[in-house]
Amino acid sequence: MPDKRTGATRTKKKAAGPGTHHSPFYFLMGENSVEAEEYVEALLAVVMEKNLRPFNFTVFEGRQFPLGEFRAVMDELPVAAKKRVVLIKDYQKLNSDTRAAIEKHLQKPVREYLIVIFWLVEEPSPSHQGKKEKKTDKKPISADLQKLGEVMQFPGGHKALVPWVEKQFERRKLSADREVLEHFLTVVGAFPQKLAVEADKVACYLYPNSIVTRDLVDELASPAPQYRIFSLSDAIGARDSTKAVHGVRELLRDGVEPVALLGYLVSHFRNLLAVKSAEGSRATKDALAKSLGMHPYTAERALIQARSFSEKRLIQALELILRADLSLKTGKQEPHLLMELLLLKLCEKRR
Amino acid sequence: MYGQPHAVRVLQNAIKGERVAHAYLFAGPRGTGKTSAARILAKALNCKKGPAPDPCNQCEICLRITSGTGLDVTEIDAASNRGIDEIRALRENARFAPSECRYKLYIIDEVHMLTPEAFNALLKTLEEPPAQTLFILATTEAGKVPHTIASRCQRLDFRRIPINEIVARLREIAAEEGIECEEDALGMVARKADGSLRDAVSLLDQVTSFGQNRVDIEGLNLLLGLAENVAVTEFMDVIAEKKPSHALELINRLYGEGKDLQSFLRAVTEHVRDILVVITCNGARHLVEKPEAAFLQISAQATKFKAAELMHALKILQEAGQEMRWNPQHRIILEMAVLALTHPAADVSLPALKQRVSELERRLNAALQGLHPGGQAQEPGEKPQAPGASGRDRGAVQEPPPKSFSPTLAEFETAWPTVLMEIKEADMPLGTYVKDCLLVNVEDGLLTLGFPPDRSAHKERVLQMKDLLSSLLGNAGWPLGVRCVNVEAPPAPAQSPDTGSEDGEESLQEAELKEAFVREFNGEVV
Repeated sequence: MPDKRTGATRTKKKAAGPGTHHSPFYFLMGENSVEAEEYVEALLAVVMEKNLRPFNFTVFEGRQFPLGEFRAVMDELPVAAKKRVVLIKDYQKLNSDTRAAIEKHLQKPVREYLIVIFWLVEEPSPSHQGKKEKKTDKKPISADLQKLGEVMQFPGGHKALVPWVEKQFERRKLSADREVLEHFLTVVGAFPQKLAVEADKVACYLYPNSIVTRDLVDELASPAPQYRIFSLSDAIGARDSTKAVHGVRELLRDGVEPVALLGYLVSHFRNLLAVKSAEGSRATKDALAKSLGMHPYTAERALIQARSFSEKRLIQALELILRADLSLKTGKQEPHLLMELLLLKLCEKRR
Repeated sequence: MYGQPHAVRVLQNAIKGERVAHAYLFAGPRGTGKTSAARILAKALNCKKGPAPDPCNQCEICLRITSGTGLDVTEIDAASNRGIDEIRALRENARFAPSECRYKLYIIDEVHMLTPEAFNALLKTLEEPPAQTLFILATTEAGKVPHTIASRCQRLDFRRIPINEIVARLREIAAEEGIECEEDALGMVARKADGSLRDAVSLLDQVTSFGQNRVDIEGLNLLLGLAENVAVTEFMDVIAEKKPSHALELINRLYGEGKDLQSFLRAVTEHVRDILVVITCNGARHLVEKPEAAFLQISAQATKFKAAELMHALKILQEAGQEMRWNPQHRIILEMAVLALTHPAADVSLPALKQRVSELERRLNAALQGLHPGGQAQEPGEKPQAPGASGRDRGAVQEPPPKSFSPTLAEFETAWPTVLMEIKEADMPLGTYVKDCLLVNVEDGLLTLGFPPDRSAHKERVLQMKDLLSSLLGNAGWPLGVRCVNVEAPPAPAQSPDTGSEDGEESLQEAELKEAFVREFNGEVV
């Protein structure tokens, strides 16, 4: 974690744009890769002219880091520019030896060099749940190093991204009220890169007009699988079999694996059961969310949905999912039909 | 471009507003215009009179792109060029500036087929796209494109083309080619194409050749094998009427005609699924991907089945389908499935037996309804049931269970607090209505609840929810029918029936039930 005495103040610093004075290195953390890349772009514009970039700007990928090449670059002086900029992406994916080698360079800053390090994390797509990337250790650079450079946060998440999306809309000469902005974010998902391209699409569609409406978002934006899954859980909660079957068909058509969907349904009904069991405790929404290890928003939705199920019914639902899982894995039923039948059973009004 | 106004508008405005993205992802079902849109975009960007939202289609560049010989527009089929080497080569070439056009375009079709390594190589290019180079990725399965790639592309969803637009286009083609067409036949071709214009055009070609420059319904039926749909509908009618001999004859006919019984079984399974969806989802049209005429047939057949029956039928059909995978005796497997569906006595599985008992209860209930027009509601002042109200599903819970289950009032009173709790948990209002009633009697599978005059409103509500209450009692392990009576004073415990007529009625019920069981299961009373 960043040093509480020194680092914390620095990490709170939001990148308002690089000035003329530069730290020897910048450590850019968070989930908003678009904003981080824009910051680097602005930094480069200050440090060198565009035509000099091929000679003075080098990018290294964290995935396959060529340490020898990095060392060689660090021995070269800038060409006709004030500084040479080295960008290291996916720092969190590097092994400890490589990190140690890089940190040696950071500890002995050279005036002609500017190192930018990305520690940016994006959520994996739910359709690739089975292929989650290896969990990385979350320890950033040491406190001593933080004193030498600049650590910056580019937060993601729904709340932090609303003003950012607003800025993106303004930049594209689009106007939307707060409710539409939030809906746009909910539909597209909290992925800055995707939000930016979707905003581009909306801008192109509306050109030369500018007012974005909720209907337009529903019509045009490509929904994130999470949004479809939330809609599916709402349909199940409301026992709306039509919406549920439609939702599951869309998800399966979009390539979401039936096994992954079953996994999601199990976790959803387990949440409902947990919330139902804790209902009598009269705990507040936040306390309930904390005690069950859920996000308050998820807990709130689960509380509402749990009202339409009895505890016995929730247990029966889990049994149904278990049976469907067995049928799926033993190849007894065609997966899409199996999922549809399961949802029809889960949405049955009374059994 | 037909049927994709949103995509056309986005792309045209992107050109007008000079906001063309460096990568697009065109996603949608086959034949909806993804590759065509990519080629038109290539022409619009590179047209000598452009960049223009509408390319001239006459200049040298436009003509070259149309003929597929444009030097700067490369189409790659990712299904057959899916490795890292192909994508590396693409990356190498993409670095060079376009030779004759303004933009260099790479159209990667079926991009979801690329290997993970190839995707990684492509990602690098998309992250730092060379100037004046555009990538258009087209796919029918957008979910299989990694998130890292998809999030860097502007995604345009291509939707199924509406039938009327397909018909309009087919009419244009027919007029240009001088083909004689029946309007209904064009509609049929469009519906068969299932939203794909390419399929519709190719089907029109086939039908035209088959009918010697004439497209009519008769020719279509012959060519498209629509007779199979007719057979499926006929098959389901036979299943609904429980006529095994007719069903076996139908299978024999199909077998004789050389039809693939496995594919017929698949069609039947799909048809059953559609009927089930119509029943359970209130006839949701968008969930049944069939032409209008077929949907109407399905809706008509839906009145002949119950959801539970269809769920059971699906299980039998899927098991048969499973068996057909490894057993080549498809005819025998299909016949066995048909017998299980049409002659339930032949099926001794637990769900089948449960269904038979339910059916028996329903028939008995119907018989009793005939004897007592008021149905079970025999209490004074209780509304007689409407003729249509005794639905098949309701019958099972309205009737008292067989004589063998005969708890006493004392036994039931002991369990009542727990039962009441379960009722409340399942349906809070119902729990409240029965909370204050008096347990009058439990006899012959019937629970009599007494309501004092000040709870008459509760009695009315309980009468309305009698089926649910009966079913909840059953869930709690007390499968009892329910009746409600008015009581003045606290009732005496466990009254025995005191009228001759009721006695007679109970013994009639018992005798009918016994007789029906003996008949249904071919048994004898010992």
